[in-house]
Amino acid sequence: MMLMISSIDSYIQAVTNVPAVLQNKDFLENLHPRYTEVLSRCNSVAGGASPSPNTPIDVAINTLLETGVNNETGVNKHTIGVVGLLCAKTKTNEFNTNFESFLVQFSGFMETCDWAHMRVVANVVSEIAAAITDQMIRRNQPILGINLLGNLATRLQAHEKMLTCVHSCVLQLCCASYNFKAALRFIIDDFEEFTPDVKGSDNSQSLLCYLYYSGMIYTALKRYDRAIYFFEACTRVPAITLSHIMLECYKKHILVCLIEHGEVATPHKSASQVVNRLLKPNALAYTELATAFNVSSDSLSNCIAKHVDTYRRDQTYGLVKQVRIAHMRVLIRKLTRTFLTLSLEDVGRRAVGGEADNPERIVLSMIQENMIYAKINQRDGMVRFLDSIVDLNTNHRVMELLEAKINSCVELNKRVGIMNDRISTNPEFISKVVLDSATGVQDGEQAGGSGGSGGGNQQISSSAKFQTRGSTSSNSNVAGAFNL
Amino acid sequence: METAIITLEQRELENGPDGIRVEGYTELLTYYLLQDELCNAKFLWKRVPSNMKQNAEIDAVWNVGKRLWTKDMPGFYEAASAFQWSAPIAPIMNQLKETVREKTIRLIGRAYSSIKPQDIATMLGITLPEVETLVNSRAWKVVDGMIEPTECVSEDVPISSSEEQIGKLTDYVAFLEN
Repeated sequence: MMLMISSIDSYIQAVTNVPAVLQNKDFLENLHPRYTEVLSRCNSVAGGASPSPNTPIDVAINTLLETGVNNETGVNKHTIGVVGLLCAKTKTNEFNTNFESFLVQFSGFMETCDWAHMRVVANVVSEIAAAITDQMIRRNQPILGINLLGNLATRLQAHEKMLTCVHSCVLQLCCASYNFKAALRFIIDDFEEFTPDVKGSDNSQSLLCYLYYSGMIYTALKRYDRAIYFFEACTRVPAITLSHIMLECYKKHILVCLIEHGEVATPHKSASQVVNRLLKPNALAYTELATAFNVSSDSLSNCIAKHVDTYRRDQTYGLVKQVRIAHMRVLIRKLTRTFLTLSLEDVGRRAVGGEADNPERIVLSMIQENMIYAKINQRDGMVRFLDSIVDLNTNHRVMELLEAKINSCVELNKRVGIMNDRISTNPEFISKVVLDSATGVQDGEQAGGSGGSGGGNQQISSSAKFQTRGSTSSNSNVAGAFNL
Repeated sequence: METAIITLEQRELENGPDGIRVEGYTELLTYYLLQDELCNAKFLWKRVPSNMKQNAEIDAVWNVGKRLWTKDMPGFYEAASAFQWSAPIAPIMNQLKETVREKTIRLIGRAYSSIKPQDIATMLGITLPEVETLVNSRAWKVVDGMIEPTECVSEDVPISSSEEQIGKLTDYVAFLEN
């Protein structure tokens, strides 16, 4: 049903006339495909000459807020209508100047809105969040937006493993304000679900941004193992074209892998083919670096010198410098596999490559970080490499680590089981399976050329039933649902 | 300490730099150093507005932090002792000095089989006679003027009862069987 609103009054009428339960995610688009433009134009025409503190949109918002609130539950039934108006307000020319009052209005609205409805129009909510983020960064006060949008993100989630578009906005604010510690709360480890807007039409940009920011935040905090996870996840997002965000992730993935592990893992087979083909030629400076890393420290230096401009332009030169240090450490680690004792001089010659830094200092800091196990003997200037001091019986840390890992695996298994159950009892999924197997059988029957008109149909439907049951028989829930 | 950190962080998130003020930033920075959260300390310094960086104390705290970042031990003790810390910062700073010293002693025990007394003195920011007392208190051996430190055994090993361990094992086996 297309209502085609033309003024704010008709908008209010439409919003109040349609019962809240019938307002679905396309409700606002159905009023008018470009309802925000229409509304913001009405605002400026009417506001015109004398800009009063309350613009027509403000008046409309107040009306909806007053009429919509249920006195018993304190929840507003016109939530979707207000969200549409607020979004229109971010498009008006006065948005800049009245930003503070907009924030007050928005956070006030968050107290009475219906979160289930907010989830329905998550795409509009995230548009508002993006406008707020943009404005905060423009005003050079990104830190002030973290609490507000963080609150919005947490409340918009239906459960804590749900990713919303607002999450990437919060992370962006955290990055812009150098407040990485605050961001950790909003990084969801393995999210199970997103609000519908995350996989929207814009090439899943917000999902990519979320993964990229998460990776950058962990890189900044030097927790490289986590950073690798997010960068890799980003290059594995299904895509038909190459996104710049993905490319940046790929570059950083190489650097961080070299720093943390001294090698780059081959891309996972689940990564999309197109992307894999396009990523490498576009990040030549980085793939060459990874190759040079495995050859020698001279070739690494040459490679860095050759591409130094690219690194500076990409703002990755800091990480590249760390790659060089990591290379030295990898070499020292290799020495521990070959030698039992070695003089500090030799360590310097073989690994440090005559650089000014003192080999003793490097070995010491590696011992400090538990990268190698060794004893320095200053009397004869030797280093004795030891086996790792891990003793399963006495070292309770190892036990703790092991237990934590096992527990997280058990937890993950449980979650996958639950997700599996949920999908296999999903009516849409079942009807698709039934349909697929039915057509599959039909094809088979036709190919075989057997079966009359009446009896054949009977046969088809019964075998279809059988196939469906057979293919999902491991799950009793499905069989139950199917009988219904 | 945890609660103090959370309060300060919240104050900054709610009202920005004006809410936490330079005193709060200084305190938070020192706490981060004490917690060995050097990355957080670095970015805190980066986001402190430049007019607040003029404050002598926060500058001095970050000077200490920089030395920790580069693992410049003599520089660290020098920087930590050079400034007359104000009342709220002084106790945290003293604690920081002690923690760093204790950690370095452990590291020496772990990393060296013999070491010159002078090197210990530089790493800990103490004088040679003080090194001697330290060696005596830790029962480290001295052979031909070189110190042979022993590894500190890490204490506080929580020993879980065998019943508890059996319980955990049962859970794991039950998980694998199903």
